[in-house]
Amino acid sequence: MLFANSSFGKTLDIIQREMDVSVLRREVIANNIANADTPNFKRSVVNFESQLKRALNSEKPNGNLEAKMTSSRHIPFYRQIDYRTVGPRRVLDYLSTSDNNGNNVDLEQEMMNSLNNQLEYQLLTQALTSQFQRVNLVLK
Amino acid sequence: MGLFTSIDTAGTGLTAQRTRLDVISNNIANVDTTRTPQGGPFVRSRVIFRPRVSEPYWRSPFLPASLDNGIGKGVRVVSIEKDRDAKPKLVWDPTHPDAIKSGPMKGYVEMPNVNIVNEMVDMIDASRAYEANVAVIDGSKSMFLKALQIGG
Amino acid sequence: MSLFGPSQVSGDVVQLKRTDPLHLDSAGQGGPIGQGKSKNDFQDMLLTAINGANDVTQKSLSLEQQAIVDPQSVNAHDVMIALGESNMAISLTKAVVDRVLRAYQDIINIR
Repeated sequence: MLFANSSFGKTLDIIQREMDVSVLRREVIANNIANADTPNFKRSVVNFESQLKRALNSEKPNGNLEAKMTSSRHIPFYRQIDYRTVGPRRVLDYLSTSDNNGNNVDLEQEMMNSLNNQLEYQLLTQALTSQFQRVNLVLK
Repeated sequence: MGLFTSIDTAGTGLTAQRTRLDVISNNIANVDTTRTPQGGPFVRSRVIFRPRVSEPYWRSPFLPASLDNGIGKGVRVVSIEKDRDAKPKLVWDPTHPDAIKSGPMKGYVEMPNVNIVNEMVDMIDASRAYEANVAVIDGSKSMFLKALQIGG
Repeated sequence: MSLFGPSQVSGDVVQLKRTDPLHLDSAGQGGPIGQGKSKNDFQDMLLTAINGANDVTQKSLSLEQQAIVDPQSVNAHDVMIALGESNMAISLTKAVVDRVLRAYQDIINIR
């Protein structure tokens, strides 16, 4: 991949992964909305951003002391997580309160999530366009 | 503030108003229910709202600036409770199967304390609040889309 | 006691004031005071312009990452303004450097 090790390439990669997750989230939300009346249905969510945040924060030096490892059996104090290994996970949310028929889909909340997802996708598209334009600016 | 904070806040308002509308429609449907499984006539319910705040909620009657709760994140329904304040309505009908059998109020039937006019007014109020929340979401969405056009 | 003006302070970083040749500056170097490089040669100007454009671009990239992992902390217009600023900085830098290079070549080719 072009520019793989620069911050330009890294941001390009992160935006692309987030757009993939956004499409997955759109399908999960559509499924939740379609099953808004089904008895005993529990809604699902997609978890990605919090894991990505933890992986990105682990790359920065955290100011604590590093473990001095002189043997191969020593365990390091903290491991650096590569953000490329983080993937989206679809999780069943069985902890929200349910209606009388066992259904815990809140229609307004799903509509808000769908709107937020759509707006975020548009923002990411704009950011991606602007990244590619920036490279083209220098070439003209 | 965040990217989607105003949209999430208005979403909580929509949920709360819809819950309130569900309770109102239950009250109206049971306006003539004289006997419930718990015994006694139907008692009307109402919803209790509380704000969602990001900082601790100080219960003081005045609010100096240092006790400010922050902008807040919407509303939540704390409980749906029965309104047992009003005295029960009594209607004279000795032939009714649920009439009181003995005592000083023999022959009266206890009717629910649901007042249809009040419920209708509450219902109009809830649907207006719902529309207002939807207008907030529309406004936030158009502001966001306008911001995406910065930079040409 | 002289108070610092807003141009001398950024965040929690304050410029060290050197009044004696034995004082060290923020880079840890000693030496005589008042020997600032006042000549603007071509290399300095080029590096300053490119580093400035790079800083603005880095800021916009980090704001984009923050918009993904932590949407609560950024605003939509901040992200778009940072993107526009970085594009503008790069095209301005490119235009300035092109003109200066052309002027340099003109001067070299006079002889």
